[in-house]
Amino acid sequence: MEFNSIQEVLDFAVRQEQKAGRFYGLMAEKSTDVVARKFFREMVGEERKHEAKLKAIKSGKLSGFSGQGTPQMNLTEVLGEPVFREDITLQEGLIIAMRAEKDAYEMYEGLKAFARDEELKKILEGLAAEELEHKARMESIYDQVVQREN
Amino acid sequence: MSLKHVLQPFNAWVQAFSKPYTIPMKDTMRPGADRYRGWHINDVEKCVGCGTCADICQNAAIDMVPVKDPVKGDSGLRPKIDYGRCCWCALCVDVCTTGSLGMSNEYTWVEKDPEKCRYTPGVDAKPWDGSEKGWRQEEGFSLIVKDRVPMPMLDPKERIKTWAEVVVGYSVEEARKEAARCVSCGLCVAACPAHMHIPDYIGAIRDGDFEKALDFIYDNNPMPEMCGKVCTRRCEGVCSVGIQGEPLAIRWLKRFATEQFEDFAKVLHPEVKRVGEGKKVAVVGGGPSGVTVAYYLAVRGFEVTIYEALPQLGGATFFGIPKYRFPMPSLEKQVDLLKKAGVKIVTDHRVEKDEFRRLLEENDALFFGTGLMKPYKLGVPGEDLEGVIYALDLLRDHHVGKKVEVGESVVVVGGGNVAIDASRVSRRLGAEVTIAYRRRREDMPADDEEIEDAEAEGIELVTQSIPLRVEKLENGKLDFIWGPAEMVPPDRPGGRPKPKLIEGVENHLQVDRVIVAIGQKGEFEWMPEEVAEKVVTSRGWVEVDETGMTQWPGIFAGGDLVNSTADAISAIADGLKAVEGIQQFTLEGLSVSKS
Amino acid sequence: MKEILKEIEERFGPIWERVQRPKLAQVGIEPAKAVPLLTWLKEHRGYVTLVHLSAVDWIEQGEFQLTWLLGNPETEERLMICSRIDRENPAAETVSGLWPQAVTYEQEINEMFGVSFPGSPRQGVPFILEGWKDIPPMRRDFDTVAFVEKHIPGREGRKHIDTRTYIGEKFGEKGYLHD
Repeated sequence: MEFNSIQEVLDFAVRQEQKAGRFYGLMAEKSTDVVARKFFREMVGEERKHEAKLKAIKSGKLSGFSGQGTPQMNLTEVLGEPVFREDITLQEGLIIAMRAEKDAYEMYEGLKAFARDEELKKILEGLAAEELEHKARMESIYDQVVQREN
Repeated sequence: MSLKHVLQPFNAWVQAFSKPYTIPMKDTMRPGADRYRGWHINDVEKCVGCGTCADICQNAAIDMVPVKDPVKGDSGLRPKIDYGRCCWCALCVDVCTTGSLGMSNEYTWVEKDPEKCRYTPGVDAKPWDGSEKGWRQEEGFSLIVKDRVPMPMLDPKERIKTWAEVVVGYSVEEARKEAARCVSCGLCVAACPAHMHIPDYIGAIRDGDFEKALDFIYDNNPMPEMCGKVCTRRCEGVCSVGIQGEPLAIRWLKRFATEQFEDFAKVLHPEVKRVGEGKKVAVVGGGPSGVTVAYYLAVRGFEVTIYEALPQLGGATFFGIPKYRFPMPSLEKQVDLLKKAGVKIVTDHRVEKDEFRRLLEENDALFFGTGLMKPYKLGVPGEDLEGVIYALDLLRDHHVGKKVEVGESVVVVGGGNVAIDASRVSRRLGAEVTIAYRRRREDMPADDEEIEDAEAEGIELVTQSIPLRVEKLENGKLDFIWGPAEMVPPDRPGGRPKPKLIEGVENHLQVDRVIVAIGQKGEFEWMPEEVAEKVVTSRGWVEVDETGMTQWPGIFAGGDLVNSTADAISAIADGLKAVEGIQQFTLEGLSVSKS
Repeated sequence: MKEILKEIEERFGPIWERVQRPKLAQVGIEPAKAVPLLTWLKEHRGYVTLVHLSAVDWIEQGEFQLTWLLGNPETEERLMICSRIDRENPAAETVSGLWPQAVTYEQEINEMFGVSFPGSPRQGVPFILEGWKDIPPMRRDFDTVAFVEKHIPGREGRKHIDTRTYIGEKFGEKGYLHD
């Protein structure tokens, strides 16, 4: 894949967020567990927020990414790989979300190699950092909700 | 008149030109002695506003005045001293629980306005603030009794052979002696989620009036014998006596008071208006929150029925807490009072969707406190292997009388009270026990004393260990594989530090059982979808307003599902809140109009 | 100090004793034998100085404790002779014949604790309290705070907040068994 401009990169990123939103929307529809269902719905909203942020950057309303640099716990790397079932639980949903953020991060990291110039590279780096931040956030939620006593 | 008298004025005049016998004050201002008792100083950061200085002052020279908002562990009050009355005896300094109050060795202060000779040391700036000299509490001397009366306990080697209660309990003499250490500041009341009348029942115990103590105790806690044995006792964490010494044994004193009576109904005589007559309330889940709602509504004349899925009330305190900490007769005594108060109890009965809808129809209000009955999973590969079990299941099976086996060795994953309970039960079932916890010992949510007790019983603690996977070995045992963790800072200051795997190292532990106790969650399959959709959050908790009511008018909730601390006393506090909420809702309809 | 304590025990019968410091010991003895012991210590063992005489109110036991502190200037050793007397109509033998300065101590204790020393010259004469009508002020059942509140006005506008009550109010402490 090759990008010719920042606009193209951002368009791509917006499409990714939309895809993720549709994915969570589908899961919310299919889940029978009330908590998982509510969680996926919340994630749809999260992805919309990300999408809006990207659009704001694209239109120049936001100057760039502002990652908080949340310390990484690398939980995702330790946990298993759940698959979607109708009776999926919040715990599995959270792991799926963590994995999705990690995948997105790795994708942008990978794309950096194809960036033609420094500008592009910088924006990809920003996107990667943003996804890493999301991953850390999901891990924190997992840590607080699931591993309250661990 | 003699000649001498006539000449005397001139003598005085003559003296005026010679070197005076008196010494000018300004040249000879002598500092007070090193331990002089002069004007007060107070380290207001250290001071917690317990007011003991004001209580002891025999001249009533000290007023406690507000200088900031009260918080848990600090009343926000500070002593203000009226120097028109102070006699500089220093009793206030000697009795100070924190050691914050002292006296400088400054002793002169000239002021035309007497009103100014009344100030709050440490708050109203004075030249002697920070003075190193003067009177302080002497090392090794205190008017506060710093040492707790020790609680007799079974020997660790003996106790792992039995299910007998580990804590023996105070004698009358020991309890009264321990109670006499209390300074009645009430800081504990702020820290207790249920705001129990702690100094009052301790005072009654000190005076030997145990009936009065029980009356104070039952005034806002219908499971006090349980709390007297297993409470997380946040009260003791803020005890002002505990700042320089050991905190009052508040939990053991409550336990003592409840243990003095076989039948609470004979002692307690509620005097409340039976305002709820003709009103019906259903309580789903017989844990501490449900019991609280049921008892206090019943004494107000409400017709209350508790529905409990397990064979006994008590919730987690029944099926979760081991009997060596909280024996059945203690629980039964409290349930007995509930019955005598007129609460209908239906046990072994799980409410399902249709019945829930019917209960909602037939009752004026419904409360549920169904707790966190399902374990979270480990989330790592191999967790579905035979031999990987959940602490909650183990404890519940054991406590309802099912036979449980754990083999010769187990690893318990987790650091909360559930993990410790499962460990100590496994130990009594004959296993060698290791606890694997992801964070540091000081981060463990389990009670400190519980951890110490577990260690005394020979349970090994491996901290900063992250479970990686579980494998089945050829010899039939399980291989619990874990990696070491380093700690990274929490997201927010004051949050839990986070463990991060140090990659590349794998440790192995051969065990018969891996017992998972990392966290628990609520379960909502029994709840009608339309209700669950409205009241359950995306984190699996239930949200209520300040009256304990959910988004669904008339449905109230409390306990571990609702609060963030998930302990019995918080559940009781939730119950108390709901008692008021339900009264308002059913009698005044206040919440209806609000929603 | 061991020897003198042993000797006291031999001559005066059962005592309780405690060596507090190398040159300071405490001896407890029944009231009837206190003054004979003091006399013997002064006349025969060099404890010629009466350093102090004080009293303590052991209200719970219904007793006052009198303590005569004696000094031996030769050896620089000191002995505290303690004796418990009944708190009802308390009286003790005077030592003003042995030490004239005891008159002042006995006058003070008489005023502050209400212990009388029959035969001591200034019993009943005010020492520092003039026109005192209450029970003796150093007795522990004397309510100092009530006396202060009655006789010594505090500054106007003073307002004390009781911590216990304040916390209950601020944190919403409630009861449910009594209306």
